[in-house]
Amino acid sequence: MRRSRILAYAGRRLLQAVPLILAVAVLNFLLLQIAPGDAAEVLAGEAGTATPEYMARLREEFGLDQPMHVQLWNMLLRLLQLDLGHSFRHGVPVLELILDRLPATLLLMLTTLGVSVLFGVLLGTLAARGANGVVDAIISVGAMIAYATPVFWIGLMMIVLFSVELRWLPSGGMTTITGDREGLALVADIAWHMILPVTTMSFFFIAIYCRIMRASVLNVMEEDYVTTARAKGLSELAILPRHTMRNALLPIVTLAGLHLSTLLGGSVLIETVFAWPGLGRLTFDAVFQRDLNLLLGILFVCSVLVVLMNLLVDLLYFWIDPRIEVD
Amino acid sequence: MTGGDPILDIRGLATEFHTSRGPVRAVDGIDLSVGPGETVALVGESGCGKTTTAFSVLRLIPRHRGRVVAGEIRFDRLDLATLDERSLRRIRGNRIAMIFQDPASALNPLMTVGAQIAEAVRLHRGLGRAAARAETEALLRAVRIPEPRRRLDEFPHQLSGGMRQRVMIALALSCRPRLLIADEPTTALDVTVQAQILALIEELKQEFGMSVLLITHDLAVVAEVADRVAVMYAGRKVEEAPVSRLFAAPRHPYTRALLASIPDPDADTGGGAAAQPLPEIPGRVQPAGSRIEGCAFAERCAIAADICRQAAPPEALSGDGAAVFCHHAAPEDAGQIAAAVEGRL
Repeated sequence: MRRSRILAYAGRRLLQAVPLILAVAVLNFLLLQIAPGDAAEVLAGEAGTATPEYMARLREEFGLDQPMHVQLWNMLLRLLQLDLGHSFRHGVPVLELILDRLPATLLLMLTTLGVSVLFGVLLGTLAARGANGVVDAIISVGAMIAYATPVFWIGLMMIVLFSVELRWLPSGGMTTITGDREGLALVADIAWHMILPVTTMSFFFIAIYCRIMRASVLNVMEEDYVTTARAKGLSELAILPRHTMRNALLPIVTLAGLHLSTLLGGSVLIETVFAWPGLGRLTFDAVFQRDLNLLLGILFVCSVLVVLMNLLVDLLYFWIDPRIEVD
Repeated sequence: MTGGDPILDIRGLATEFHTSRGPVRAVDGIDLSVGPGETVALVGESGCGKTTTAFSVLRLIPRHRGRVVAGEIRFDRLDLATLDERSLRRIRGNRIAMIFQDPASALNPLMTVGAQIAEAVRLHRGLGRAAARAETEALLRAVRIPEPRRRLDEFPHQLSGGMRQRVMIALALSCRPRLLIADEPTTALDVTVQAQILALIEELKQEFGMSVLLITHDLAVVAEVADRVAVMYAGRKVEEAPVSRLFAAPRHPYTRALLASIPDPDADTGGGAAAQPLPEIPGRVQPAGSRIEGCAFAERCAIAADICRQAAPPEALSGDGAAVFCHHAAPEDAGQIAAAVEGRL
């Protein structure tokens, strides 16, 4: 009963997302029109043969010589057929480029989010349990510092310390260039390369989740149902996960859901710093090469991802909080 | 009624809360006992310490909030005031169970009611998952919840207020406790539901052979279910008596004032203008924490004299376990007061 209502709700949300995503695509297109320069200039500049004829030929080839509204119309028609066109720069279908890079970005993002939620929740709970004590003070001050430090600075310092000075961890990339690893060895190698970028990105999010969780646990600890649990004869250790933390987690879920899109945006910075072969780096390169089709394609895929992730979080909410009504 | 040794015997209980201005004594030397099968009501205004007394029995006040600082809480040859946490947990929910004022907030919103009851059943009775579920269903049936099997898997927000309090009662009864502490069990409920819940508690008390310590400010509830009443004021007990006697011949001025402030449905027959306004007790309760030399009620008492502000009133006992703390306690056979009050009950 509730399940079928939830499925219907998900379907409705997906249908509503179609015009939203198209509107976002139009906006992206218009914004990029304002940006100076185009792919023809970049390519011609690199080739060293920037004759007006050559550039005109490139523009004709890319369809950049057509009036703006025709270009926009063509783009929308293509998007409706899920055709993202060809990259000006790479000459291959945009979708191919994106699908090639997407897994690396998702891996980095979701690992970061998982690590952040895990440590944030544990540290926040620990701080709340010892509220106003020494442990709380250490955790809270640490969280404040982590929150206030810029991510790119943490990233650079981590590289300087752990890869340049100590030579413990690789400074960038996703795999070791030498050697073809397979199976578990490959997994271990990727994990090894993830340590620095994930740690760097996690600092900020752990700090947020820790602060929120601490406040939330302190709130829930005052709830009557925690007293009921105590009056049942449960030990504090048994009450903590089942009654206190579960209820205290609700705001964390909301926040983590919002952060999914923040992380997607943040991947541009972190992937550039750590030379991570993901969507962020691809975006960064596409901007500098004025690869309009690629950029629009990436933004399109990202908006679809954000819509899907938001929907997933809302569905997750139905699962964890039975009080939420399916409208 | 009070045959045999009391199952709960509180002697000189004092409980303090930590505040930024130092410790505040919310309960200041209370004696109270509950006999087997007896229902004892603890009454008083909000903030008089009755709930703190109830919470002190099971030491449910969080450590960072406050603690029991003096006295004994005798239960089953144990002193709950000093018992270690581990042994205390074996009593909580098992031998002494508790229900609370607001069943809407006393149940975990993210757990099914079945799971919340089963948790206690499994903890104290060591039942397996399936056995606990069957037992939980039986408990829901015992508190007259229709379709108990379906209700097991429902969440608190899907139930009405009265149903939720029934679930709380089922939870409290899950280990057949010897004592049920009911802290304002009907206050948050609709008037029509209040009577049902009281009747249910009364019925189950007989069935399970429990004693009940009922915390309430509602004297109508007291008259209906209690055997004996203790009246609290500003953290102290001011009077205790069998229920009929307390209503018929209240000896403490505070008790008299409380009874006089019960609205009388017969007095107000239509003519609103002619109706007597309800008498109020002038002034307000001493702020908790202020040190009181004499009688706590002296500042608001109509018959207070100098002695009342200087010396704590002695306990005046009478035959049937009744006691009053007052320098000017009314005589035991206050016939005229009895007559006056009887007309109203």
